[in-house]
Amino acid sequence: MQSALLEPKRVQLPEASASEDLAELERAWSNPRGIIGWLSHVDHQSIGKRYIVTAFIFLLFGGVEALLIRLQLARPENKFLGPDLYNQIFTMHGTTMMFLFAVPVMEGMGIYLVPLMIGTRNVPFPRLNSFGYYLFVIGGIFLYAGFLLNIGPDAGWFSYVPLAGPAFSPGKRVDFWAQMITFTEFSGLIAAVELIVTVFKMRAPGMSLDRIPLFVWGMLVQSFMVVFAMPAVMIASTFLLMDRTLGTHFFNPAEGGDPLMWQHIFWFFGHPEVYIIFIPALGIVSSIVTAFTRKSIFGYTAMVLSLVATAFIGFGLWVHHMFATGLPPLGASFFTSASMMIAIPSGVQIFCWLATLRNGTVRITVPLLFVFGFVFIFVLGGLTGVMVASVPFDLQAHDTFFVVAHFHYVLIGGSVFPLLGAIHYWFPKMTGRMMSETLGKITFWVVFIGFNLTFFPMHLLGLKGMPRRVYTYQPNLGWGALNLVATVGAVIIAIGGAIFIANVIISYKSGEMANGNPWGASTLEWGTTSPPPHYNFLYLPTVNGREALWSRSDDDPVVTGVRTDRRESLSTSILDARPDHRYPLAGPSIWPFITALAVTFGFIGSVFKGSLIFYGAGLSLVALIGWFWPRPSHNEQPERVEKGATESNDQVVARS
Amino acid sequence: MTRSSPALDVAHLPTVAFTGRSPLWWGAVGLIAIEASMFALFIASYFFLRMRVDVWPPPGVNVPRLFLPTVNLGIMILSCIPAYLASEAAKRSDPAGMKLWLLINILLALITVAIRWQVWNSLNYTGYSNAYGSIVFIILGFHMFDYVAGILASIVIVAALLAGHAGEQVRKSVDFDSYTWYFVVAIWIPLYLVIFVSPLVPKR
Amino acid sequence: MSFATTKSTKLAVVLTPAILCQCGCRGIQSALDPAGPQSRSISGHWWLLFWVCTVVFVLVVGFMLYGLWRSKIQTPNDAPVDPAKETRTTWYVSACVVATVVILFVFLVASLSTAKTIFSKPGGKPLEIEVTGHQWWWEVRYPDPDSSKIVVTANEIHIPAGQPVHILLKSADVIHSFWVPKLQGKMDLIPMHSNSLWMQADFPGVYRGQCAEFCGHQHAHMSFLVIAEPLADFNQWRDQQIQSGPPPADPVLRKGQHVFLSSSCVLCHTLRGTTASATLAPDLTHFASRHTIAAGTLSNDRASLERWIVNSQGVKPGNKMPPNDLNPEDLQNLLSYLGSLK
Repeated sequence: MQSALLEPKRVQLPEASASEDLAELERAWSNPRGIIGWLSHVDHQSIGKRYIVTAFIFLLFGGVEALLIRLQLARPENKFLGPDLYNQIFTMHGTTMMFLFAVPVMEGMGIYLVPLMIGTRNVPFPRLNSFGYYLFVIGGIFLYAGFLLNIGPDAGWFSYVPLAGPAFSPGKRVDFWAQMITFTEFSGLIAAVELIVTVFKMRAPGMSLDRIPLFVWGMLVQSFMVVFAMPAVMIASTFLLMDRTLGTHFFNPAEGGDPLMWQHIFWFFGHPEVYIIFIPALGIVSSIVTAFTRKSIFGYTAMVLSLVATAFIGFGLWVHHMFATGLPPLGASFFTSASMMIAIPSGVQIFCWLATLRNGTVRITVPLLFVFGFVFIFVLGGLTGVMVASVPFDLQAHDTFFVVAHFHYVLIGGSVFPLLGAIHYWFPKMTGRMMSETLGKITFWVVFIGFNLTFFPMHLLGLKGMPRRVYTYQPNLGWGALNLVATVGAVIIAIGGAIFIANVIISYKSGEMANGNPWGASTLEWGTTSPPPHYNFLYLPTVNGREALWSRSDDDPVVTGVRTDRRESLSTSILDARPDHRYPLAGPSIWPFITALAVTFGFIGSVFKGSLIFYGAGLSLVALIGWFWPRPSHNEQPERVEKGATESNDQVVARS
Repeated sequence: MTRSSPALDVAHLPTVAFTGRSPLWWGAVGLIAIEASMFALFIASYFFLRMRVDVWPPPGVNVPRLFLPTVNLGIMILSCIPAYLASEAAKRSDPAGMKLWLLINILLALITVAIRWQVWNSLNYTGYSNAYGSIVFIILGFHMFDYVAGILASIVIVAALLAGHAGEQVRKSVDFDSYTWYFVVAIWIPLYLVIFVSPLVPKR
Repeated sequence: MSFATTKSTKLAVVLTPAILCQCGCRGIQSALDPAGPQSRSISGHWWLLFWVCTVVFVLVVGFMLYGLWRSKIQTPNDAPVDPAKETRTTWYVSACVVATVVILFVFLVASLSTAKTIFSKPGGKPLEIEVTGHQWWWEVRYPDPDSSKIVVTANEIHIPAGQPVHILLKSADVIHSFWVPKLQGKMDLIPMHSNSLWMQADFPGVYRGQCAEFCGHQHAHMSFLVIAEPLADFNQWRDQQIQSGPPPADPVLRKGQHVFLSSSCVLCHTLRGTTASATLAPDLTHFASRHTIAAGTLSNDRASLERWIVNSQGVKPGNKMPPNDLNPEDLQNLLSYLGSLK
């Protein structure tokens, strides 16, 4: 049932062929049933939603861990959690949020939205996409298995050596952390390659580079960052695992190794990591601002260049995490300059959004409220970031609650607020139902107030001398009142989170039905039904302007000639998106799941016995053969040409 | 009710494409970028550790003579030629050509693996001796892993060819295989220089 | 280039106490309550950053609120672009970007200038101190070319007020970080690396420091005190610390020493002047002259000491000192003995 307002434009060829195409597409793109069937899904909507839901579950775990931390710190010399459990909990909190929530949720948003936004049917390597998801969820389960068995990692989310090394963290604890990294980083790299190739080669005809939506640019830039940054953490965690389980000496100063090398390699990943989390959120903000100001974002080129500049500069900042390690002052000041300089592209983006808001006609909805929250919180966090970029100030603020405040402001303000806005915004597209505006507004205000109450006092706590990662503190230091306020704020955030979850559940069951484009937005995902069919579009669209749906006219053609009896899409050229060839897409397959199990055997086994990695590799080889062995359906068949298309090439076809 | 609309028909377009036009090629480029980043970081780690000590390689370590590794490098580069010829055979859909050139490539590659093994055994230290050993062996080990994985992939593709499959998917696989092979050989050049040549300029 | 710092420092020094005393910036461990030239320089730099950033924040958020407040009725299609408005907007946005660059440049210059102040060797002959970080206590050593004049103590650093101090930082195990917020920024102690920092307390006082790099279980209880004294008092303290006293005359104290020397204490602790010379744990020769026990965890009084000796795991779980099961008489004698080690 579609509402009368804002009907998506629907185009059909003569009715007979359209319904036959539709039936064939439904058949070719249907998903198999049962558990095996569910494990075999390879369409990007399934995989994207799985990433998002799983990531939100990990967000819940990370949130509970945060609450436990705050409860322990509410009073000086509190006895709620002892040091062993506390150290595990803050390690799990950081690790969960950074590796199991923030990056996967953005990957998931990208995997779900990008193929729709650029007008194609699926990502180019569907089974690889599925494989990536399984690695992510297995890695998370593995980490939590260790935690629930009380042998969870307890050396912090960045696990500095020598503390995390074999001498000072004996046993398996840190090994769980290090190998979880291998799983999740593999998964992140896979998603990144998928997104890059999707955006390069699968765009709708007419979507030249300067017509790509800013959200897609964000995901593209982020994916490049992932490709160059994540290998660093994989290497670091591999070195650490080898030092711990095999007896190598990468970080052992007695044999020529160096603990500082850990910090360099880790932060070479760790700094780009936060931009990997942040840049997709910038894309989300652009989408929401455009929709609710009825205006293209001001300064498109500047926006794109800012994204790219942020990515580049982001690779040159990592040493600012190491200002207290005794660096030569001249070298350190280079990183001060770079760390301050990165504020410029971010500033450009903020100014362009503000200009768009000023010049457009604003409609205040829940997604836009979250954008407001983003500006408020992220700008404050960005400013404290400029402060800690200064070496002398950082030498007071580093490793204190000031820095904890800073990064929560930029990460929650910069990523979580846009994400919450994104869920309210795209929920109708994903489920066909609107979320409750009232509950959404309440969610926003509760979370906004709770957030500031929790984290603003931490700036002062840090400056008053409270270091990070302390399970308790003494009463005579004057930190008790601020800590209590922060804990109250955390409880308020939790309430806001509960309201949000309630909104999601209630709306999923009985929210107001949504048509294809309830917001009247401009990007291509709004040009199909809500939720979209598995094949995304009956006929792939073409694009005629930067705001695809707003610049669409009756003369704009749709793509015909793509096969409907098997899964297929269209590959176009990188710069101008001219049709190049038809691209067959893989169908449902259980092999990605089986391969993930084989790889898991190798990764987890090798934590306990090094040689098992070779058995795992052997099993994976067998699984990969099963995956890639040529099958009859992949061989060429005589082409069945669609009814209604003619023999002529590249021409606009006459109407019926 | 029907509304007619113009259509951009693409039925005549092919379904196979190679190199820059192919999404699979770009996927391979992505994989290559990831692996190259990894090896670049290994090299950076090597020099970082070198910077932190006064003597490098550490005393007692014998650097292998250059002869075998250099010969090996030459054979590896040579093995790229049959890889190239196999991908050309794939482009023109020639199963016999694909089989022949892949088999030659595999043979040359196996010879280089044997020579490599010999070189490894001639080193008088292990990955557990000291930081120098650790970084050298992880570089050697990771590259060997990639190398062997490439050979195994070629073997599987030959098996598919011998089983009679020679369609779209196999042709694209042969093409993919060839450019990942070029990468695995090309990345060895800087690694070879770092491990075997740079110690000739020792730090004392 | 000290212009930015000097002017801002003066401004901050004038404004800050007046406006912000109420916010409770004071504290024994507060960076906003500086007591030495290095920390004062950083504090002045902070106030410059703080005020400029506050103004920027208010402007940005203010403009945003203004834009949102102007909500209008939505038109069905994308509004036509007005070229004149677009040009004006381009100028405004560009002006904001230029302003951003200028502000950042000012910050950079201020940062470099402040860095120079806190890293450079102050005038005058510095006192040299070596601090070695252990899991979870601080070994403090005052080196001297005459080995009989070397002072070794733990968790408490005495310095002469008004004189520069150079602290060499080493680690015996994992990475720690030496931080006395009222006096200077922090510096890490890294195994097989040697870092150092400059410090000076302008006036006598007690300044608290704490480890600021997560170092394991009891990172939270790894604090220390820096006690700045007039030079004469400092010299007196130092001379006292160099002594290793004669065996105690009092029978209770002698029994207490005997308990110490025949228990597991000697496996870890040093008592100069006796046979106890292990270095795994703090040197206890002048234990009673210190203000705290267990790296700032407990105050140094008889009741706390008893708690600590009998069951240190209850106070500081996971620390390396085992519980001690002594009979009551031995325990009391030991406490008396330790209480006499001034």
